Amino acid sequence: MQEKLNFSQVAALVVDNDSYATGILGQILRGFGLTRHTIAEDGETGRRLVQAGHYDMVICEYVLPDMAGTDFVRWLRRLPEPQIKAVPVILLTGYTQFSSVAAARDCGANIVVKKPISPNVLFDRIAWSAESERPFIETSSYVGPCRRFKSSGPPNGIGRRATDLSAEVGAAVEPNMSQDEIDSFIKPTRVSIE
Amino acid sequence: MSGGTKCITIRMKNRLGGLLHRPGGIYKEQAVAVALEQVESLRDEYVRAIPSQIEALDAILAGAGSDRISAGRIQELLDCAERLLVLSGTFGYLLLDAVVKSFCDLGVRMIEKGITSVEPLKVHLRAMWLVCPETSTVDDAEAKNVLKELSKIHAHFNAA
Repeated sequence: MQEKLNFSQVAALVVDNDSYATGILGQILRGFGLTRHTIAEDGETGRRLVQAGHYDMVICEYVLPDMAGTDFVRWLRRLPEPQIKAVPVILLTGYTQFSSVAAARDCGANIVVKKPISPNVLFDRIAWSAESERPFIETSSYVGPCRRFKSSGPPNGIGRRATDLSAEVGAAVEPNMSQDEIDSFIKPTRVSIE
Repeated sequence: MSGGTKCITIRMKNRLGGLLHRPGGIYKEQAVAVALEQVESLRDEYVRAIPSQIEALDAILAGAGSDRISAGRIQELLDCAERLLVLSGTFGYLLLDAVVKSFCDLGVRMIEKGITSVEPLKVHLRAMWLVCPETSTVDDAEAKNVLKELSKIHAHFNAA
């Protein structure tokens, strides 16, 4: 049986300068019952807010006006405070070519969600982040959630946009990935490394 | 391990999970339904903004010069077009969504290949106006033709 999720005590930081995207995301989060969300319009503001406040989840856009979203996540993952650096990070992107998704995974994001955001997809990804006890890994080249522990990953088959990269407009050099393809690329697939 | 790369594994309590699993809360179906209603409440205001977003693209393109466009200016167009994609995708304007995606794919390809001709971008912008939800007068057959013509532009640049 499906369980309930209680968003009422969750504080989220949204780092994105697209007012339409943050407006839509804000409505989705409110629909889930999450009322404590703060918006940072650029990476620098996001950094200040992260250091000054407490957030249980960070939702960050891939392209920020003053830095790459991946650089913001990389910075976050290297903070000294364990509870801050290990916060679940959802990276949003309109650019879902393989190279972009790979960069998002390698910066230490927990999940990559394709824009425009669907409430269905966002709920599932947040629920999945909450379920998994992913170890946190620190190496010289990577800091973030372990990419090699056993898990079935986020649910499949939800949120795929049938209109993505329609055949009528011709194939791109590097095709955009669907949300399913992003999930299967991001999801950890191997047993614990201990 | 024979030294070299140091790897630290830390097991931390999933704080987000702890909060979400507190008593009370909402089932997924209910949460998604409420969220969709909340998003729908933005429809009128946000759909009215679509023409102004296309105008913003027009303005960037107008500032580029009549024949040639720089990679930086194309990137500016792509950043602006992403807002349009959010609006068209969220509110279900599939035709506009397809045209804007075509525009973005073309822009990315132009940057990759160093193509500086402004014309293919202009044609896409005209197509956006044709399928803009506030002003569109095209029927399904005409819409198919619009997309077909845009695909010819893509084919041309693939062959270039």
